[in-house]
Amino acid sequence: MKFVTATLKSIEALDEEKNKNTWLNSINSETKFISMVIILFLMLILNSLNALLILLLFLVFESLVFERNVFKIWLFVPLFTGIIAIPAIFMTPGKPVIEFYFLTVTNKGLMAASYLLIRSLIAVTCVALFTKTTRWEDVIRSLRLLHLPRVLILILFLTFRYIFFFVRIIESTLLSVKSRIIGKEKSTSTWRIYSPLVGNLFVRTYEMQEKVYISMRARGFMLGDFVPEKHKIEVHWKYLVMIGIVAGIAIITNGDML
Amino acid sequence: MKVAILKNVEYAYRNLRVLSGVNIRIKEGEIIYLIGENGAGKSTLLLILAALYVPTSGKAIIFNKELNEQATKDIKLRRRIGIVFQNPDVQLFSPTVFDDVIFAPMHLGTNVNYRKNTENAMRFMNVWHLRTRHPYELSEGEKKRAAIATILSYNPEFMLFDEPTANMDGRGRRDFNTLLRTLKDEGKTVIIATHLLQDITYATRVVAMNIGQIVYDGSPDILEDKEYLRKINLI
Repeated sequence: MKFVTATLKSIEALDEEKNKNTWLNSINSETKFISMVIILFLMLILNSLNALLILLLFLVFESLVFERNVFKIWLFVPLFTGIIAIPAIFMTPGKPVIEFYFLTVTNKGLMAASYLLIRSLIAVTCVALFTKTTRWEDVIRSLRLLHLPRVLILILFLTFRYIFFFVRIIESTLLSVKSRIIGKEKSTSTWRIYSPLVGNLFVRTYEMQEKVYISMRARGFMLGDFVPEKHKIEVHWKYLVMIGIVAGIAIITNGDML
Repeated sequence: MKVAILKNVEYAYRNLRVLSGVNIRIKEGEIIYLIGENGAGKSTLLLILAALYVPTSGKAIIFNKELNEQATKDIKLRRRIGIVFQNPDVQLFSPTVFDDVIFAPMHLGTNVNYRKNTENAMRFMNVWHLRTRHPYELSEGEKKRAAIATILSYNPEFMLFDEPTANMDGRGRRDFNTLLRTLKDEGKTVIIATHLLQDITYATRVVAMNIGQIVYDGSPDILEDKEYLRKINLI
């Protein structure tokens, strides 16, 4: 119950964060999306560690000023990147830096791991900054800019929409269970009570997806020629110029290493 | 003109017979109230009339087209029919209320003024001020009003409403009655499934269902017969 309530609150908090009144929140989603694509593209093509560090420092600065919650996500980066990066330190051939019994840390291994870690941090921070400071419907609108398939965008949205919806169902179901229980249950009986709820939720999810699909078909989904909504792209030039300056510095620092 | 003709229609869902021996003829401009207790088969009948479900047996003709799998994908037929589902969470799935209301006009390509029609439908249902909101943020009554706007935006000839006034407050119910009067004046064919007898207005005909069968089809005067209504568990 506590877990479900916490999840629900964190989803709601996520939306509240997006309504904050910071400068980054006020920038339109298109500009932020274009900036994110520029930074991710540079992250892929730049080969100098210093150039990558410039991008990372810029994102850290942005996060410190506008959205400090982004750093919470940093905790997970070493966990996932580490699985790949740690073996690379020892397995990449190169000049030995530290020797520890049969394990040898090489200079090239260290470089490879650093590249991987910095690139992961750039990618994660960049995407987190975008999603944490942009309302969900604006994120979807930005995805349309990329001309991603409509069905893909719709599936993405429906996933978000119905996660929220089902968390609400779980919360009310658990509340109804709680209203009929006195005191604290033993862990075995807790499992006996809650495991059917999981099955019940699965059945409800299955029925819901069927009904939602029928409702979409009732309004012409996948039947006719879709009339795309005309959308005027607005660009926040000040922010884009700032991104351009950072990108320029990073490219100059990178030199002819491309 | 006949809008729909159902002849001896049966419908089974997961080996459970939901409808049996259903015969009904619906003429243009009729306002029909489909009444019956919960589980009587009203929603399933609406889905067949909306050309979304194909009967397991029997014959269903909607706008002179025999209902089969192919007909359920017919865009011309789809443009003529609008259905509002019982659960608005099924109907509202887009990022904003506006996106949901504009969904059908965009997909059905009904006319060039789809944006203006969407706005008019939202203003009529008093949800225009909610246009940028997430559908899940709305109250149940607001969801119902938004769900109704999703079909008004493409102005179909044949409209089906499944429990439209459930969870609505007094104002919402009054607004729905205003809508119904407008639809009647425009000559639309409307079917409303409900078990809330006090909400019945402007009915030209009442169809009562019980355990998957039509048990009464005729004048709204039946609503005065308390004994009969008690017999089919409506009061």
